[in-house]
Amino acid sequence: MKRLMTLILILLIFLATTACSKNSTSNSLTIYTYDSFSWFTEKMVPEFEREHNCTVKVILFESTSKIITRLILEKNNPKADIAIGITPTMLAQAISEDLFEKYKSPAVNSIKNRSLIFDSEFYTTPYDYGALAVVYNPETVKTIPNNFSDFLDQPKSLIIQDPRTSSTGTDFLLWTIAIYGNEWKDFWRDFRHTVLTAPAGWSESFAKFEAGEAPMMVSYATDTAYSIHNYGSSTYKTVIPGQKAYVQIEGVSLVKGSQNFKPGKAFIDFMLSDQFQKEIPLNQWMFPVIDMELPEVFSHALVPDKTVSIPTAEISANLEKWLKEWEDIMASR
Amino acid sequence: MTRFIKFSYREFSKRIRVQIIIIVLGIPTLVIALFTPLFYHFFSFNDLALVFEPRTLRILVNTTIQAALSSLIALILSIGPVIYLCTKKSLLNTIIESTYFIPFFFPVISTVIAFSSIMKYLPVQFHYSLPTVLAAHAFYNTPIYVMFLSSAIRNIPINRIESASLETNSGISLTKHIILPSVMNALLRSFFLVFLFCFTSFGIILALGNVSLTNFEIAIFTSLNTSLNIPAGLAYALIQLVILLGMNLLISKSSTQKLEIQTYKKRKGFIASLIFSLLFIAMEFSVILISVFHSIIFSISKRTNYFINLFSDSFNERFPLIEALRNTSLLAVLTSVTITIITYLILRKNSRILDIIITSLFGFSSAILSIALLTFYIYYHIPSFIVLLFGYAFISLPISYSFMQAHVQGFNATLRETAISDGATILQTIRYVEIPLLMPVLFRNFIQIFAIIFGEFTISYIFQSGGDFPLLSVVHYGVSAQRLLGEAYAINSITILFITALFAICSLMGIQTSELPKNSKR
Repeated sequence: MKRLMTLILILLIFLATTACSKNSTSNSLTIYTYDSFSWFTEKMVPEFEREHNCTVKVILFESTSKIITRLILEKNNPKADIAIGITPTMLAQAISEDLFEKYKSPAVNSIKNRSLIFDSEFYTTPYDYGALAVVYNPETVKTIPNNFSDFLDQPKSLIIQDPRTSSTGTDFLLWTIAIYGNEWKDFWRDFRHTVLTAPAGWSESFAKFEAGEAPMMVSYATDTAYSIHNYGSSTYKTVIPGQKAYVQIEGVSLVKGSQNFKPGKAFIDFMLSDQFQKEIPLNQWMFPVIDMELPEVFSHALVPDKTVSIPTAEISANLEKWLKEWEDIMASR
Repeated sequence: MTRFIKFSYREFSKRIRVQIIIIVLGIPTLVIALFTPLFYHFFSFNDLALVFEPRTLRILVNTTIQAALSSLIALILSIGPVIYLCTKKSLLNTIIESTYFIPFFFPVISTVIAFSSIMKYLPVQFHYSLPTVLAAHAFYNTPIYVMFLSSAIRNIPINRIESASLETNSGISLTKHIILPSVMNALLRSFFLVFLFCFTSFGIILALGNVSLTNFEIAIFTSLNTSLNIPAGLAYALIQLVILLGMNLLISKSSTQKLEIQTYKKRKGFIASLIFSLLFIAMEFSVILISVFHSIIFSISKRTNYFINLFSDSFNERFPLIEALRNTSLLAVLTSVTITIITYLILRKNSRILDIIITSLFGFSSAILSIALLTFYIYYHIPSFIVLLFGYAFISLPISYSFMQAHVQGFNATLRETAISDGATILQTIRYVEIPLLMPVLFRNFIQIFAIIFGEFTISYIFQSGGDFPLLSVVHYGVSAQRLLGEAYAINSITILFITALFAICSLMGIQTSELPKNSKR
């Protein structure tokens, strides 16, 4: 019995030791990003590690807001070196919390469309962009939502993302605010009946949409291209309600207090290289910020004629209030 | 010799007092240490005013309505099985009684996945709505009523019922004047317990609910984990703490429920009770079995063995299941061993102050505890494993305390005193007298705490330190959220079979695992 107990104790100590042990190398890079960006860990990270003789650790979060929350918690003791997936909306909070370090990559000069550089101080460097849209299953949807009002007679048929947790969700809310102005709350009071659920992030939403839980979902204008590429046909179609699109730009930032600025900066440069940018269309299903030839399937991606936006300063000043108002409306179902 | 014994007792009492002081001071000190980084860096008193915002009242009303409705529905569903258990003796009794482990030990994520599957087949869209949440809560909580009420009714002396039956032929009158007053204590206690479970529900509301069903636990989670609004999280946690402490006080005022199986007396029963009992069993077991069948059906129809897939390299690169299984098992074993020992040592002291301190731990929100653990982990560079062990110990201590209290404090003190008077040291008394006699209780407690930690979701999910220490419930939730249904059902089957096997083994060993804690949280 004693021997057995001793053996169990040794085994537990061994397992505890292995569970607690962590790999740490001097030339390492820790990246925080969201789960649907995970493709780059297999395709791009090994190349970067090889080129820069560096170990990269990627930590995936369920949503982008969790990255910011985590960075705020770690502010005095940062564990991440770079954060990927920062949108203009989130940047305001990040700057007010002093989370990022300025870094202007020399590769920024290759971004020809200067309107994509949403942060002139370069706390964040853009790496991709895409217009929001509604993806739908043509076999099960009742009415194609060519306008926002077309949603209203289709109860519980749309999956959105929770704007309190997801950048896609926040941008969708901002899109409706940009379209409806001061009347956006009236619109949402009717629109809320269309919403089936609002998961924390895009990946979870898309999984639910693919499982057939609802015929429509807030996503991106490239989804028809995705459908053709992955299923060989346009199983899913995409529409931009009202033909006025809201463009989401994603960026990468260097975390303030990081001990690994050198590989961090190198990774930002790497993300703007042709090598990385050419992988974005068929993996991230967004547009690269560097001008390059797009895959043929991207001819099926919707390119909006008109776009709407809200000035960053207005977003910073009002977002918290808008999110509270949105929650009040949704909670009074 | 007499002087020696008196000295030993004095020494013994002195040691006990010192240990009580250490524990009494130690627990609040640990709590303060745990919450210090969170409050020091992120808290401001001025922001506490938001407790008076309409949102707080809305959450309070929503949470209370949802919890009250869930409790009532579960109570109604329990009536049939209760009547059947008290009037009949058949195989059905054993089947009904085998559901008693569900409220305390059945993993939340398994329930969520099963309900998501059931919702898909319903002709009406109930997904992400109040009816789904109510149904899931009813599945979880109906066995609590069945267990409490059937036991209380069976404890009514049969001659009391028989003499009352002679005076009145009306079943309603008998129920009103004899049965109801006799079971009122058990009814109130079980109602409060179920209400508490529903009030603090996290996983079910998160995965099956919607924004309008936000309760305090979810509000704390969203305040802390998404907008890092610490004052808001704290304000909600304080409100929840006050409500839970008040309820705990009410529960603790009622006498302890004894769950001894009474001798069955065959009485006149209703056919309706049989029908409702069968419906109850169908409800409970359909949720349990749906995952097992689904995983088999999926494997056959898709010609893929999802059970083997789970352990493949490609799957584990995306969802580190093997690592999560190892981490979770290890944490569950270490927590349950540590907590069983600590609880036993605390209960030996039989102190009212300790009783109050430990019972008050029930009121802590798991959501705010998780954020405090995360901040603690970040600020002190303590490995996730140790921080999680501490967090799990924190939530399982009051549960373990409830499980073991009656047994350890009811231990025959004469045996202990005799051993000491025979010259045994305290260590020898514990080792050769108390532990051998209390081994079944300790082992049962170990299994129960193991099962709770194995399926724990709130802390695991909120703490999830960016995937550097994966845990089973989080990986399982991730697989389910990505709608990898084959794999999700396969993990579900493994988890359910494992937990069920654990309790079946205990049952075969003659260890009763269905005794109720005074309180618990999911």
